[in-house]
Amino acid sequence: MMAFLTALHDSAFSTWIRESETVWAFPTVLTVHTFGMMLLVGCAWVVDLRVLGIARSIPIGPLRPLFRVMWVAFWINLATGVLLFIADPERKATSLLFGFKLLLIIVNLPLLRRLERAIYRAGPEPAAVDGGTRRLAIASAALWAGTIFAGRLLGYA
Amino acid sequence: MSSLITPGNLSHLHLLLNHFPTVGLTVAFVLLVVSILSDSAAMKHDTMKPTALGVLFGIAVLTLPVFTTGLAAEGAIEKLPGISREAMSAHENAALLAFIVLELTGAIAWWGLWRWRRTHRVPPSATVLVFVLAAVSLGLMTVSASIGGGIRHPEILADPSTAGAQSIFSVSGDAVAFFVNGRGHQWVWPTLESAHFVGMTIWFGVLLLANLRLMGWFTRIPYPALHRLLPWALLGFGVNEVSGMMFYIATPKGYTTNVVFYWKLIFLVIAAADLLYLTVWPAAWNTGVDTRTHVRERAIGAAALASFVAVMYCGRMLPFLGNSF
Repeated sequence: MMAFLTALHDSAFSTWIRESETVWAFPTVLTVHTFGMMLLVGCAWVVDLRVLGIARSIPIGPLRPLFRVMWVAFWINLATGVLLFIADPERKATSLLFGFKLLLIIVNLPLLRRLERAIYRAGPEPAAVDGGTRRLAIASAALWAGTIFAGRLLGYA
Repeated sequence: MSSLITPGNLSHLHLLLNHFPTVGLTVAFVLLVVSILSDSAAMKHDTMKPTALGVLFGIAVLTLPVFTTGLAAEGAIEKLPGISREAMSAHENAALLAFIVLELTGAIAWWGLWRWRRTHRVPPSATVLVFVLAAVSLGLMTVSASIGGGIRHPEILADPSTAGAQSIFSVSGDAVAFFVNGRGHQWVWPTLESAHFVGMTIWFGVLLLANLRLMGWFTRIPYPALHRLLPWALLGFGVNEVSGMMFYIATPKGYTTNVVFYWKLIFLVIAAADLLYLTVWPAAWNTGVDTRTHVRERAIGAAALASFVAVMYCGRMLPFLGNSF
């Protein structure tokens, strides 16, 4: 395993992302990753706030496309995340913090699915959400905050 | 553009912009007092008070770049002969307290405006708080400005021997820098960075939905419902201003010598102006279910979202573009 990670680290592509002088390599990948985060978690906060009863006058039905935006942003960040991993495979693969960040995301993705299903269980225009749905929103929001912290701290590990 | 960042230009910029918090605040304060007095005469449809609050919010936002050009000017001229480092440090510390109180004033003024848009009146508690805070800001700005004048012109002080004396009305920039960067405080910077990212996502999420509605999407949501979310955008703004200023005060030279930082400030002012627009703009407020929006609202929404992404881009790219860190 370690031999594979070392080979990946020494590959031309990994070296290019990591060491290239151009801003189109590591800096741009990192910035697109940040943009995806802003889009994904930004939409998640809005949905979670509404589910938790903030701004109750916003009808819940029309918010549904935000879930699609979140998934697009997630795929952007999976792709850029893989590139960032390729740039620094040995340290990332052996980092507890990185493992923790992955764990938070792996737990949160099915929650995001369940949250959408729970909100729209009663139909496309639900008038209210139940306690279970609110708990899902709280858990999902907390996991996003934890993911941001873990990801940000990785830069200093 | 980089060639514009010269010591002379940075000092000029600070001397030019420092009139926003001093002269601007005086004008806004007079406007506020007049609006309070005319209010007691039971004027109907009072628009003067919201105007005063809007001007105060604007000055609070514009004072952000003013404060940053101050430390840039300090870095630019501290090695020149005849410059009192003590006077500069006293000015910086007095300015920091004045800045903090002014930003608080701006936040409460924004809250008063937000409530005014919803209920057609500014809550009396907001008026009283803003009046007191604006008066204190004005006093603190005056103290700071007078110490600042003494950096090059000790002769204007009542007692020139006091040039460089620390005012009791100040917050130590060195203490902030130590908290962020000091020995044993390695956890502070990464924690603030994480908070900075959380604040950014909250502000952006609210901004995105509100502007998309005004750009013609999400037409089944009446805009006044989205208006309810705006305090969360201000919260994100506040978290990021506090964390951002702490980075800046701890390592000013990492920012002031990089042109990308000034671009970030310009786009930030635009994003903050968008928050004011989303809060009070009549065409936005009157956007109901299925209301079609004007091309002007669409253009403003697109420009605001682009500016916010540009703020993120400049911040994220700061270590890679130019010469920071």
